[in-house]
Amino acid sequence: MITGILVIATVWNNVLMGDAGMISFGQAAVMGAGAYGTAIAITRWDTPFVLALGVGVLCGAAVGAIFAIPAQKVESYYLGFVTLAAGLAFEPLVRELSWITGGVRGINLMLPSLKIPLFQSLTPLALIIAAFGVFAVVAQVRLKRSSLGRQMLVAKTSPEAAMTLGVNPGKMRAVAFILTGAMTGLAGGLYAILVGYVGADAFDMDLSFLFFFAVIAGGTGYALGSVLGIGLLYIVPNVLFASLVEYRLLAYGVVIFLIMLLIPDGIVGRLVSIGRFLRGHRDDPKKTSRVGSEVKSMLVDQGERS
Amino acid sequence: MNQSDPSSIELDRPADDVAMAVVIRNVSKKYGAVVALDDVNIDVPEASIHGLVGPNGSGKTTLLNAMNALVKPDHGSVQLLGVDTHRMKPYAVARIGVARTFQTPRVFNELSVWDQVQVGMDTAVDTALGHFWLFEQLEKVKSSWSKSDVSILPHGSQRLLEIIRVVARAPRLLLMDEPAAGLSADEREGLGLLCRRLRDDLEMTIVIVEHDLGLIWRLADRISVMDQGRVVESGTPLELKGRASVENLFTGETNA
Repeated sequence: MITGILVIATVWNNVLMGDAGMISFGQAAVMGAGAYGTAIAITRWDTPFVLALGVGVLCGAAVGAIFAIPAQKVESYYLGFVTLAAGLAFEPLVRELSWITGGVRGINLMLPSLKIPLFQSLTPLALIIAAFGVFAVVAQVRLKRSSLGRQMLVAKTSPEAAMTLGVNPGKMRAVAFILTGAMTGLAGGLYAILVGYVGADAFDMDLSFLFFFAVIAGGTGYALGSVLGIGLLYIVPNVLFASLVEYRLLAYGVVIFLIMLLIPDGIVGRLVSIGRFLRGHRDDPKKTSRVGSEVKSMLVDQGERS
Repeated sequence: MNQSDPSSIELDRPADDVAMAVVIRNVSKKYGAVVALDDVNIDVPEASIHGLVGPNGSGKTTLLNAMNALVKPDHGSVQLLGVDTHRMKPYAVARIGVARTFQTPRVFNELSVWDQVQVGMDTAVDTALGHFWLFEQLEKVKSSWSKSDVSILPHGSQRLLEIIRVVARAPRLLLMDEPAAGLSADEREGLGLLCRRLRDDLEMTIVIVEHDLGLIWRLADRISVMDQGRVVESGTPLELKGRASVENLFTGETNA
């Protein structure tokens, strides 16, 4: 179930990276904010869990909005470093704000009702996590076919061209950060409920890097790639190599290294380009000339008709 | 009607009662010691085609960028479609009805051929133009273009596709930077026909930077010749034909 939560955060990080072209090494802090928001809402204010998750969403969106501020000025890995700094600030910040976060002790929360199996080992919580995981994948696929998604892609590829189309690239970045922040915050809230404990050290840099590398490994921009990426980078080292505790990090490192070296466009990215290559070999020249002449006819036919 | 018609030759400046789509006054821009634009003044009446010609580095593209607000002039004012664009962001200028194509066509590899055009429709200017003939034509190719990858298209088609995208925004003012570069002879002819039809049927105003002087002389209502950031000549194609600065451009072209 932890894997499901990681999938949610990773797919939304993929929206941020693939569709909006932003790099964030601070997504663990976004998730942490969501987790603390939900945990505090449940333990301090006795909020029902749906509302508490909503608090998590708001906290995540707020941190996303903060990240969107430097994103107006800096890009690419420079933005990565700024968000990295924000991510590093998260743990000390949580310790300092101990009056509400519980400091080093963290927060314990009990929500047994969501963990009563409905059927065999299927709990309501598992259903909720699965639903939001599927939602994340569907949302990214749908986003690409929407006006907003196209404008994000244009702003990512050529901010100059985007501006002459009336698209504000800064706004696109902010929307991406806030949207991703909200859903990463939700993932954090689900994490808090699932684990029943929130502590600052769970949301460290390793987690931010996992979200980043899982997107790269699966294929930037491909929603299903993120699912595969988490599978490869989380399940392989933690489950398959679980008995070899000392070699867990080694396995993680080797997997990342091999993927970056051999398939920099990620697993799904590579599969798609192979598919394109095979299809291209069959009908490329014909299709090229047909679409090319259709493009030309858009101009010529217009004039001739008048 | 076509204002390059010989009967209208006596109009050296556009008549005062014609509404202006572009009014550029005393625009200057320096990059360090390099003068990119030097006291440029240009008027373009609505529903006309204006050509900008001149040697490389004469400031043509910088002038287009200043009109798009991608470049902030050091001095002077740019008024487009009756709006003073001073202090406006580039995307705000675009939204008043200004479209732009680039010297290197901006196609987006992650979008299908159709979506290159769809982006233009997504960002359509809010005008009364609405749907015009281009949209009927486009509807017919929608399904085939949706399945096609833009990277399979040759350079010329990508350039035309960018033009179709911005025309699909139904802009009032269209700025094009060397739209004919890399096009075949009949593609250039098609481009010329499209420009005339946009001007005549939709009363669009078009400013074209172009090195194909033959095309510009056939197409434009008025032409400004630029050199070293200045507008050195301005007039109808016929008026300009005999002038020294223009003859130099033509000889420069044949020597190249």
